[in-house]
Amino acid sequence: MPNNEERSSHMKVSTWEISNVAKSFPGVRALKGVDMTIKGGHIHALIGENGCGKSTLIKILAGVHRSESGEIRRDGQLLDFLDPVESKAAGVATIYQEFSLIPQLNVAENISLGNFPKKSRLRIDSKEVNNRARQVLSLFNIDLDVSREVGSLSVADQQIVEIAKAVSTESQLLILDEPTTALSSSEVARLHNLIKSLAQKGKAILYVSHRLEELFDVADEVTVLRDGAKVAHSEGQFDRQALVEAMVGRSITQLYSKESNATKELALTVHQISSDCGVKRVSLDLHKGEVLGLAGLVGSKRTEIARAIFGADKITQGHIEICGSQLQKISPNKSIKFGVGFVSESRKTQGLFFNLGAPSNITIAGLKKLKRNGILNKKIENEATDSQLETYTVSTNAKTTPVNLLSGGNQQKLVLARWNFANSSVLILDEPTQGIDVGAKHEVYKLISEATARGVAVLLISSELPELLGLSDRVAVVQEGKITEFLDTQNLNEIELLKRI
Amino acid sequence: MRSELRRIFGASWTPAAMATLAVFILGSLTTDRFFSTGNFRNLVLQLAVVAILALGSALIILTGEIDLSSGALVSLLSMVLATLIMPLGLPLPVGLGVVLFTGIFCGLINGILVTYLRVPSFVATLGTLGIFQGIALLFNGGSPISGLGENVQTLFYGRVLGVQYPLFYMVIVLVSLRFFLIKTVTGRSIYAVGGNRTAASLTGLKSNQIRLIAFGISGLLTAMAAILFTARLAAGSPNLGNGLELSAIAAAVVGGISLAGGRGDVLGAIFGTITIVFVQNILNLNAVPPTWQSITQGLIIIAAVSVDSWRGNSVFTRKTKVMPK
Repeated sequence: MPNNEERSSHMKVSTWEISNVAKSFPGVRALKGVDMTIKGGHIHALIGENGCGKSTLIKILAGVHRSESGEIRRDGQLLDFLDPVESKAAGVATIYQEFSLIPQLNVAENISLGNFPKKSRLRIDSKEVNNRARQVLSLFNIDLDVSREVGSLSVADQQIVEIAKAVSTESQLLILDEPTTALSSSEVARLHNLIKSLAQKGKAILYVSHRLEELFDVADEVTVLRDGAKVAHSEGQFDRQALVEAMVGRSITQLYSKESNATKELALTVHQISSDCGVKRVSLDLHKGEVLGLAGLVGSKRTEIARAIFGADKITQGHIEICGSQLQKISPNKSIKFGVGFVSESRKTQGLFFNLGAPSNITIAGLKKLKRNGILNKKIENEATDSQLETYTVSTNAKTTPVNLLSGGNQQKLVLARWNFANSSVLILDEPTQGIDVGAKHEVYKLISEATARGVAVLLISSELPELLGLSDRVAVVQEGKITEFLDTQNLNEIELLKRI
Repeated sequence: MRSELRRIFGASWTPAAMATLAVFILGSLTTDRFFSTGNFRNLVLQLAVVAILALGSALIILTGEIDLSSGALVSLLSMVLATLIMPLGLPLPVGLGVVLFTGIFCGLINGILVTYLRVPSFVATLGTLGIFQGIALLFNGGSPISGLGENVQTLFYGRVLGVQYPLFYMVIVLVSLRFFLIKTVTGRSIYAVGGNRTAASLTGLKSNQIRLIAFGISGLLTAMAAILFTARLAAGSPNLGNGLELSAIAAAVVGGISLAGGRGDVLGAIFGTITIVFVQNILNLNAVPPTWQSITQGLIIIAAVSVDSWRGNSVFTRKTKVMPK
């Protein structure tokens, strides 16, 4: 049976041609006419920094967005996806960083979901569900109990299930969006073997990543995007230096302004805190003007550590010392009173108020400053907004634009401006440059270094190692909710750090 | 000038104001009794009480919650007031004080259920609807208490500066509630909590406390409505508030208060109330049977909620579509 399947998928080798695909969002031209060919049996890496347009491109292939111009062809035949269902039917399977698995169902059920084998019109053939799952998993030599609930699996195993699901639907083009951010190095190796074996079976693979090191191991072809345009393409031999320069658009040294403003004066001390979200006895010192980075894989609980320090999760043990006061029961409300500001990793769901305008979004954490005789003063709010928008180089049009229509970069600046307005002396920044374009990133870097120059202490989380290394004075390595070591970034490079996380 | 126009036509209450206008036109076209002084005086009295209730509902909806118990609470408080005055013979001011206090207390109970006990407001207030209604029926063996006297009736039928009391109270409530929402820290926080509760707590707002305040204020407004209703009839009735919660919620939603929370101007709730009360009146004047009136009100609620959900795509707020089709 597996042999038959192998042979049949061998016969279907498709070539996917993308030509001149363009897409704009309000305020940004996300893609400016991109050409690309993805061949069956090949692993094609698509790389670029966050905000370069690679997510937009895969969303167009997945049918989530529609391109404004250009076309997509499979073996010369024009495709026009209206929605994700049509894209799937055309043989495209996309595996996002956020999996589409149902955690309460088991492995086999997840693999067959949407395509259950049936005994009769209404009855699911559960034996066949299990068989099918075992068959697919055996195709790539993975030993996994198909009756286990998916929610209980590790992230790496969930990803395997997600891929198995895609393979079982006979998809010919597999898109993997940043598949390794949550994986340890041995898990990455296993994933790469799996992808290679799928390519040998004739599948076309689009491997999207911003980690250069990986693709040397796995890719046959590389396309580099920057600011929505294709800037480099190479096949076979890769010139690392050239790819980096194409990706970043300038040499690495210019990218992160490395001026240390760290002082010896303590801003915040964390004593042995644990939280009910998996943080275990974390201690750290944060100095005025210092940037302390938290380095770890996705899932290592960096965010949870940040949330515990801010008081957003329930603290089960330990305390925090700030400005000479010991805080036992921490809550966001209390932390903010003591000058801590928190920029969460997802500005849309946890940061911004889409029902309020830009001024209210900026002043919400410091409404007391707007009070005159007990009531909010609109004039002070307007002036404060103007001055914050100016500091954060956001055009004054943003004042009247609905916040959900602002670009990602401007939205992020609003959140940063909020804490600036609230006079925060300690900033916790969780992925502050996620999903914003290169220009806005630079401004965020600049703002961080200006803040530290004023003595603000920063606790930084970033999945982009160059960024983390470039901005931090020290990094704390995080594994499974614990800090395992502190490293000075002076003589630390990316490869060395990757080994330790 | 253009921005001023956009401000007016883009306001959340604009569709409700237009609906009100449409109902006026409809009323004057279908029956000549609509524009009579008697009809209007009567309408205004009816309207003001529902409007006060609708303002309370609007406040709750702004925090992202819902209150289904306000009608039952009107019945309960009506019986409380009647009992205090008639069988117990307490002076009117004492009765009013107790009723206002009980209103706030019952509102806070709803609030505590929703916040600290984490019962979704839909379920919590459905539960208290039953409880309030049940307690209302415990008074006087479940029968109305009538003949509360002229003393009580003047609360409703009096005038101040030539304005009928109910209308006067409504304007006072509207102006102070709007002031509270727009000009105070707590008011602004209500919008923030209703718009994005996660973001609100991460910016240090105490979302439980804020929602509790809203429930308390709403309880107070419900008590005011209950007093006016009871005063009008000079009688307490355990069925006085039947179905009023739906009118109040419908009025708020028709008035542009988004059921998703955090969007809308309470001024809209007034237009929403006018629309609903006038539609009912027009149906009455045209001798439409009560069954059809009930059906009409159901349709208005559904239409208003549907418009609320679709408004994301309309010219009024111009949201982007995440997934273009």
